Amino acid sequence: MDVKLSTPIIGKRIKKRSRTADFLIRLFKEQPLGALGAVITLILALTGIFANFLAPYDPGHMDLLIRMAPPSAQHLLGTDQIGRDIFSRIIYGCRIDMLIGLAATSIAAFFATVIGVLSGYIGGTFDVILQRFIDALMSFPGLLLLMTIMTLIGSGLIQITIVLGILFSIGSSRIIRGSVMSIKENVYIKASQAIGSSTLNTLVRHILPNIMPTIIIIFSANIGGIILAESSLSFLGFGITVGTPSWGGMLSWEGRKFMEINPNLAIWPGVALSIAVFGLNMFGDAVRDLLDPRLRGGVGRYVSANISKIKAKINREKENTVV
Amino acid sequence: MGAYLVRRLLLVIPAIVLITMAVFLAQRFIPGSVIDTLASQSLGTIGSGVDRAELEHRLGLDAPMYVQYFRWVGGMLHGDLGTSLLGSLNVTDIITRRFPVTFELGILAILISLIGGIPIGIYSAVRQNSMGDYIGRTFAIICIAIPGFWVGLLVVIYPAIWWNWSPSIEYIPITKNFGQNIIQFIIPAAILGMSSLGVTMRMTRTMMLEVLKQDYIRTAWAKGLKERVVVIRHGLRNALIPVVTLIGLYIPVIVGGSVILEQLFTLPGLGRSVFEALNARDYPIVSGINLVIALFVVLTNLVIDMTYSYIDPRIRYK
Repeated sequence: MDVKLSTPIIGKRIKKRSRTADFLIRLFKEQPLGALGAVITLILALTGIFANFLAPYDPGHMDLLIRMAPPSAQHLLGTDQIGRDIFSRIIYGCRIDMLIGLAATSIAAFFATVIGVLSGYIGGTFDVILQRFIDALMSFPGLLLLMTIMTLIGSGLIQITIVLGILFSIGSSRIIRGSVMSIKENVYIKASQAIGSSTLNTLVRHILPNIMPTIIIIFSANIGGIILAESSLSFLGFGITVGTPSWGGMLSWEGRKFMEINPNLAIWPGVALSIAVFGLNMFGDAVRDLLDPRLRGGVGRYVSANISKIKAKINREKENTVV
Repeated sequence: MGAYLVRRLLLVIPAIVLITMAVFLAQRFIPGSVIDTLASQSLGTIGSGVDRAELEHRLGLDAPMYVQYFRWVGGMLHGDLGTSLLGSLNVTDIITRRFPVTFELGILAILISLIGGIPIGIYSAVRQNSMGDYIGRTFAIICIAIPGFWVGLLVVIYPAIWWNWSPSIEYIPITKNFGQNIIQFIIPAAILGMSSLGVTMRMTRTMMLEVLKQDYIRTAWAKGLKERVVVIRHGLRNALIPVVTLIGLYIPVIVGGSVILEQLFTLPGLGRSVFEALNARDYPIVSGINLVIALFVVLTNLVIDMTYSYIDPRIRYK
């Protein structure tokens, strides 16, 4: 008799991967476009972090003798109207845009969670009233509201980050609210209440871990839109202070007459911005599909009367066109 | 149907009240009071002898906040949105004169996004995973990722360099010269509708893919109907219902984008008014336009929700 046969199968070691590794493997296997997005996102992050090593010049360094220079070995993409190196400014612009994107998205995710959890968990009249406020705020076109608020409080890096964060949290809080409302119905929540846990305890121990995927989805879905919104604002001159290198600011419509002389001023910041938004959106879509199969379109049975499902889908599409 | 409409209408009223309150309060929180602005404007002509209390009384600013609010709402119901700080123009006049430009731009943008997005979406769904499908999807993603303001900027700059052409500065009203007007509007409208086109395409594709898997589509095939009939008559009709809701969601996006495109293509619309008024700190115009647009968004969404329940009878009974 072969001894090997008696080896119990249960004892066989099952290969266990960490959740992160599993996520990455699925990302590259199932979502090729998302993987491309992830690579772009990684490149953007690294460019932002190491901007001072990558950029050949200081973004504010002016050389008035070589204004509006065409691309050359010294200045890869040429120089702008006051002799600053366009390539260096794009690299530093990446740092600024990534910072605003990350900070504003974090603020958005935080407030969306607070508003969504409170509204969904408390429910009742509180929920009805709060949701009407959100209805009203969501009726104002995003860009118009942003321009108005930025004029009132004045432009600046910190201001724009906070305003973008709060504004983007409003729409996202609806998604959190929805998922809290469905989790609330689970037996373990009732059990937690029955054994006398405090509301805070129930929220932190049982609700929060369950809405974590939704929060991550909100984070990854918003960042592209936030960067696009910041660029549109800076383009119109309502964004960050003039002089700070950001892609939208470099395209600023004030500098139009210089762009007609040196088109490099208009092309490269836009290319960088488009690639960034593309990468972040693709990565965000993939994260959403991998973390929450319920939001994925496709094979499910099409029940037209199920408005909420369609609305969820529409909301998902809407994330891409915030401004 | 009746109950649904009533419920939907009841939700609109608080939203409208809150919108008016938000606009009213924002006006009051603006740094620097109206009196200061008026005083600084008239400084030098009258001197510093401005009677603040008397001016406050005449402007009604000494009344309690809620009285001021109701007076303001009352004026609004009579079509009076106040006067601009600079030039003392009637805000209602400005809005009624400039609304048609933004409206036309928006309608054209939505039409372009639907005419472009729906056919590509259908094609992509019917020929799923074909070369054409990949090209269509890539095109949609590109439309969404490329910022409209950048495309607009390039369209204004490059023709100026190559052919010395730039968009006409003079606005041609549609009543004056239809052809010229459309030529003037079509390029900004196409850029404005670009991202919506991408979204429409993706939405149509997803919905078509779901509908085409249904039993009644199999039945239609089994009856031996032509592909065109199956796809258009049996499939598209059902797939397009959510696309109607999308139109409502496009309105705020398109109004926002119109600020940028009206600026680039020198069209005298509401977006351009807001831009100019914000730069001049002329707040009555800003709040008037914000108010009108927010109300417009609420009402169009109401109409769209009603249309939605009309096209799809299954919703009414839910």
